[in-house]
Amino acid sequence: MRWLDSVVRPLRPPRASGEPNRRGRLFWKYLGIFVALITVCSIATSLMQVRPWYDETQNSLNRLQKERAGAAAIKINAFIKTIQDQVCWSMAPGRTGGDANIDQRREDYYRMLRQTPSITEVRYLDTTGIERLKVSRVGISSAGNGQDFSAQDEFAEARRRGNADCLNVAKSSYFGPVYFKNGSEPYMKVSISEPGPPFGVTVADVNLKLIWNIIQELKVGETGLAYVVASDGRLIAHRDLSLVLKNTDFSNLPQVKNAIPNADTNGNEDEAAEVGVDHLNRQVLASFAQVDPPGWFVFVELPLDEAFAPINSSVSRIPYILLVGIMLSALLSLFLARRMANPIRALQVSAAQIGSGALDQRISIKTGDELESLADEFNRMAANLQESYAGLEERVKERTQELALAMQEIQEKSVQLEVVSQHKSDFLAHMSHELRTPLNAVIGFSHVLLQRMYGDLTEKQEDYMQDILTSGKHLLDLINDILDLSKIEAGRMDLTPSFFSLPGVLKEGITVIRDQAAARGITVDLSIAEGFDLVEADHRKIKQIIFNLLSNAIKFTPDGGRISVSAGIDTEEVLVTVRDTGIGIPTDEQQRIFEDFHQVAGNATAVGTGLGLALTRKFVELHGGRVWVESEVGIGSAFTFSLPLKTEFAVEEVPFVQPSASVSTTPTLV
Amino acid sequence: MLCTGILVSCGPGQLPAAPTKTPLIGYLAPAAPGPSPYYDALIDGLRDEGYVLGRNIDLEARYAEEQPERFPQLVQELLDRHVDVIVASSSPAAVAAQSASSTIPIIFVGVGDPIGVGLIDSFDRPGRNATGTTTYSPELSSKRMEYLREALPAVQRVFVLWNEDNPVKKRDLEETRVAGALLGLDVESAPVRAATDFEPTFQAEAALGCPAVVVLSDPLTVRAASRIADFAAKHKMPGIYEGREFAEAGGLMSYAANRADYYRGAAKLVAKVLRGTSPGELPVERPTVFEFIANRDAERKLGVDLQPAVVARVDEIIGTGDGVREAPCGG
Repeated sequence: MRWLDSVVRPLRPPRASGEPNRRGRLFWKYLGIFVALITVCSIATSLMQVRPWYDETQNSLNRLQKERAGAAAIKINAFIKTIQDQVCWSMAPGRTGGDANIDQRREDYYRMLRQTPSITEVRYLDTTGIERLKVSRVGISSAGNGQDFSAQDEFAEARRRGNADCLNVAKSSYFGPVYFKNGSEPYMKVSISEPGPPFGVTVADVNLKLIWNIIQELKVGETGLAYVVASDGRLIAHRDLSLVLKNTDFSNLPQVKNAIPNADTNGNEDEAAEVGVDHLNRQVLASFAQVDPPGWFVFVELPLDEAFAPINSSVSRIPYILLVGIMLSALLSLFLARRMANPIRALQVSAAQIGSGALDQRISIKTGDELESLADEFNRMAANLQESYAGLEERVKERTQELALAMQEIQEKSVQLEVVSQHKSDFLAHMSHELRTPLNAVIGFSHVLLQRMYGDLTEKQEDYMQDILTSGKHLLDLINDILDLSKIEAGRMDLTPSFFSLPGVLKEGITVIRDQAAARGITVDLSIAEGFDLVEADHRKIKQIIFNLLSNAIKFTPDGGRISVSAGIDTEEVLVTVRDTGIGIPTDEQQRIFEDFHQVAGNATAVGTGLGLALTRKFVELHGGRVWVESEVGIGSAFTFSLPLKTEFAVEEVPFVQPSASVSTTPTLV
Repeated sequence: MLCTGILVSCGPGQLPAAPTKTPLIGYLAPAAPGPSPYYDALIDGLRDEGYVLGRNIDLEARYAEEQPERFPQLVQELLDRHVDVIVASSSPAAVAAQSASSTIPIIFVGVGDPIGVGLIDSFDRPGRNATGTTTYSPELSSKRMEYLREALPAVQRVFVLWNEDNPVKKRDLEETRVAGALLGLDVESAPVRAATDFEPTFQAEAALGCPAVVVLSDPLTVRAASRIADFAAKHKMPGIYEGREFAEAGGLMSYAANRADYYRGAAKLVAKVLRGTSPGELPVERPTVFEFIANRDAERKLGVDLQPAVVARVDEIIGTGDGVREAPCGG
């Protein structure tokens, strides 16, 4: 089927991987539909034609056979008519009885025998039925043996029909039944009453074997035949003479059985062909014509096998012709289906390519129908898509460029800011250092003066000197804080870890504020978890954290208040809490208090630089810990910071004390 | 539409018949080989039935050359050739064939008494492997006597020449005798057994006066038709013969069936047998047409006058009757 491949192959588009195997499906569908349609149509037409075909053939054969039978009937009629005429005209009118007339009559009869080979014997019966003359072809003629025939049909029937009119002899002829001479030869008696005086009756014995010649000449197809039956169904003539000689009775054949009663109605001539059975029990197409007189039937029969042989052979060829037709139409359908499927396939392939992004793909179909319009629509759609796509890309590019520029600007600004910040920190560090040197002189000397090393001081001087000392110290603190802060921001603050006793540092801090607390009636208590002692951290910075928290607590706790300090170990960190009964911090301020230079707004009593908590946070964070506040306005605040137990500088031999289940809540009065 | 196109091409068609073996006919004749109108009639009859010699049938002929005792050997030769049917001309040929084979179909030709010689059981149903055409018509013998009597009312004495060895002819002789008696004629039997017997017989009869002669047909007499007619002319003996061969050879009158018709009838029976019918089913056919022939030249030579009424009945007249009318017998 290489040819099929060559037809089908161009239909197969390149298949994208993963696409279900649908190639050529439309083509095969079309092909199948076409072929099925043609096949069904062909078979249906054939089937519809076969039946009328049979009927038409049967009818035309029937007409033909009817004509044949009619022609044979005419010939047989002529044969009978000749006999009648010969018999009638042999009886020349005007003769009277007597021997002389018998002699004349004998010669007339001989003449009749010579002219009519089928008459074997002829007799003359006088008006009383007595045989007066017999002339025979095979026996001695006699002048009558005086036998009385008056009771016989050939006499009585002829007389009954009246004297003959030779111009209308059929009416006055009597035809006897067919009988067989010597048991095998068909004969019939024909008798006619004389047209003139003496009105005797001539009886002729007719050998019907000669009708056989007529029947034999009747060609009915290849195997068909004709035969003649008498009104009682007995065979008179048949192509097969032996059947006649055997005295065969055909009255049982269905077509004969039907014909005989129908003959009287004369309505059989237009009847359709009859399917009968012949003497060999074959199915035959039978037609007949009547020979009247003497009331015989000529049958013409054609075996159905032969009658329908052309049709049957044609019908048997139909499947082959159908096959060839279907093959041809399949071939045709192949091209037709290809023609129909190709544009659709092309459309599909192009659509698939457009779908997978090849927007410059265009479909080229020139079918001049809806498919071409569809292709045009596709092309228009693809063009629109391509256009939109191109615009979008342009915009994205623009925006990306803008973004890149902005980013670059931000980066530049950030670098600048960083530089500025560095400068600020550097400046602050330098400035603090530079400020501290003269301030040390101010504090040192005012301290020396207050110790009266250089003389006594007036009360006024002492007050002022005290102010100078206090302000100087304050200024120094401020500068130290700023220095620390700027160091942290400049990244120059380093931790100097060491092992020290945290409870010791706490106690030290409390000692610093003890006087001030005692003066204001503030209770300070300390609770340390049992066994808690050494930590590794930057000793100075932890001390400052604790100092800052305690200063804040004493600063914002009204007189008679209470400050509680507790220290312990949580699961992974050391927790230190300083709780006071101060003014409290509003919720919205609680985060901001850890920012630089921030103090709680509206706090009239606020004293300080505002850098304490910021530094505290930064120091704690330097240790990897956290600091937070829990506070309620008017009730108090609790500042807690944590230090991780395992810091990067943690030393193994540090004897960490595990948190005890029984934390002492007993306040330690300091 | 395509469908219609398909059907238009479905015309009627015929398939050729399958070829079969060419049938072989065996032909047995009592005479010597040579041109024969009867053989020709057989071949013509076969052709009428669609069997053409050399085309769709073959024929193997065997001739006894006047020696009937050779028939069994000839039959055996035909059987060795595996003939499909044997056409047997004459009773001895048919009897020899049937005694050699009871299965090969035998069609006999012009056999006078097929029941008598044991070939068949009955005319309408022969029953065995033989059928054919028969000359069996004893009535004609009386008809011949009637015609003789009417044509030549002066005839008083008639002698009947017949082959004594042919048993069928005895019946015809009897019929002739009965008719003669009926018609007031003296009928004498003049049996012969060989061709050499004719001349002495004619001489003996001539010596007894001027009789008329009636010749019964038989292979022996038919083959000698010419000589018999000559003897009759020589001795001025008018006569009536069984068979046109005699009238054509110079005999005065003949009344019989046409012998060639027996062969044509046999050919039809051969065709039926070849088409598959069993011979036992085929009725023996009898002649239906009889020829009354008169020879006017013989009338002149014999010096007789045929009665005009009888001449009027004649089917065929041979010769013109012109010329010198010779003196009759005894005249």
